[in-house]
Amino acid sequence: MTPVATAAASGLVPRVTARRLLLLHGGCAAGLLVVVLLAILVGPVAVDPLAAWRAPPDDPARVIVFGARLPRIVLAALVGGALGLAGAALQALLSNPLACPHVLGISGGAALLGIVAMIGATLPAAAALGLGGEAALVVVPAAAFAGALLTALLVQSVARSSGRVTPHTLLLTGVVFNAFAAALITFINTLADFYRAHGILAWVVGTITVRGATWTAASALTLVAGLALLSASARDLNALGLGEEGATSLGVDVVRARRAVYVAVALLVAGAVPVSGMIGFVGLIVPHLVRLVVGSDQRLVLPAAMWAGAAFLVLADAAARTVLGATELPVGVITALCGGPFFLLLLRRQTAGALGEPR
Amino acid sequence: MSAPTEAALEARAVGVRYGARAALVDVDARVAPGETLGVIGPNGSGKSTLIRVLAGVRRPTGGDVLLGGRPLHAVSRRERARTIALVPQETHLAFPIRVRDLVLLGRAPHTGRFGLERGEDLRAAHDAMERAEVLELAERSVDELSGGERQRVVLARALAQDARILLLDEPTAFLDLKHEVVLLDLVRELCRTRRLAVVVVLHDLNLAAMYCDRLLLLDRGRAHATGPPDAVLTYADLCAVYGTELYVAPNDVTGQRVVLPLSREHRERLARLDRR
Repeated sequence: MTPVATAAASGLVPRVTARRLLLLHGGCAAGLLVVVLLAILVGPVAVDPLAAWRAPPDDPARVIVFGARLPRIVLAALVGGALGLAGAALQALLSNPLACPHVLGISGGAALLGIVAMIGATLPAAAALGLGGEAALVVVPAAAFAGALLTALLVQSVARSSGRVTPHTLLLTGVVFNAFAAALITFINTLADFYRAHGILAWVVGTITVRGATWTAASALTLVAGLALLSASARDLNALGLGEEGATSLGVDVVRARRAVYVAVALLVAGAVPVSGMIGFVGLIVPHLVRLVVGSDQRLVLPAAMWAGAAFLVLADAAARTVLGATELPVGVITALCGGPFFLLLLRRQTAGALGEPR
Repeated sequence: MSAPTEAALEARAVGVRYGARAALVDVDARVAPGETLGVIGPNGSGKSTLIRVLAGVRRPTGGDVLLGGRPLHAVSRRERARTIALVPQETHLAFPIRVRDLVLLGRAPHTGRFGLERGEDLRAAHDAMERAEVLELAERSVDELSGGERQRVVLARALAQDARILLLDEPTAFLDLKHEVVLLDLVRELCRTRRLAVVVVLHDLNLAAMYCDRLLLLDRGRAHATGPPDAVLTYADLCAVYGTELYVAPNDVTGQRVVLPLSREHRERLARLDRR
């Protein structure tokens, strides 16, 4: 008898198997492909992707589809996937349904150091040190990673020092830190007169900014690394749902698990923020929608949140490109408009004592 | 009394300090396979701290905890979790999950990095649910359960760990009379039939008298008395430790001690009787 047959005979059927995880990834990837194809069709100019595929390289339709829309859609998918995955991981780690990289200030920390590095890379001194120009590709995400990780540690220490981890203290810290980071970013921008060249909205409100194939590849790399790290932490995150002591009694090294999750989140945010700024609410909303479908098992929630986040941001970005006709809206405006009311709804439910109240 | 068997879990002169406050001072405790040790004492006497130390969730600041003769801190986390299972007073869940998934979490120390359960894990979880009499609840959400059902599910989670040592921290704190006995009957039976070593913190001294082979009475972090229930549940010891006048007498049904607190009215009446 196969193990599955014996299990069925004794009444318990496995919920998560390697095969099912592969099916989940495959199915979600197919779904995302459909969304991407839809997004290609959306834009101020109507194009036929198939005709564009066959057209010569300098054909305007081909340039629109493969030169403009597709790179942007791919980047939106990578950023959305990173934010959805990071949000799901943080909600599980902190047992807090209101957590996400943006709300906790982790995106703000990444943006702050990222922009410092980006401005720094344009200075003559950086060029002299070999850190300008192309090296910015490494320096900026590295700085964003450092910013994200430092903020995560700050959030953690605030959560710890208050003795009991109160969900609202954590969120307040994040909100205050975000406001602080946004103010500093504005200050630095004004000082450096960087404003004219790059646009402050790209960083503070969040918009998908295609900086080139290598930047997109870097985002893909951090997403894959983050997914691998978090997939290996899913079991620990499930156990952490029982609280720290519960997880420890199940053999989980809580300190190590927490460290792995924060590093993964910082990687994901560092891949996303330099090419999109601080896009809010994707990491907050998406895990909730995903849990409605797949339940609370983090082995399923994490990968599903990644794919759903990708699809969500591709759609939001398609809307940002088109709702005002030729004038483009930062995608962060769309996600905030969707996410703000959703956040209030969750907060109301939480204060009503449904979820995550302090113990 | 029979000769002491090999201790499954043993605390030797353990001490725990929270900053300047000593929560436990030089406490010895041992439990053998097939034996139930009850830990009793007033609020703040260190009962829960002792359970945490025995579970390896909290490292003592002094003394040693030995698991089968080996220092507990030298045992790997996974091995420890396969040997010792902990049932807390209350289980909070951040996100609603089904009973079967909560019980399967008990298999975490047996599964690999990605936490994929094999046939034997599913069988162990199934057996555990059967033994804790929660099989019919398998597909229900833990949120919907009553307190009694919930504690039996948590017990099933502990049993799924396949541990030889079961630690329970006031498992009946939020249960009514019937569910108290249902749960403790189950624990008693598991202790006897599967020769589990059980350490249980109990607030209710009458339950402690009925369900434990030996008792450890803690007083402000120190072991005040230890031994069979009749030797520990004495009028003098209990009144001294709990700091109030109590009624202690054998009861007709079980032959074990029954301990009742007395109201001020009754204490005064007793004092008047004494004076006469």
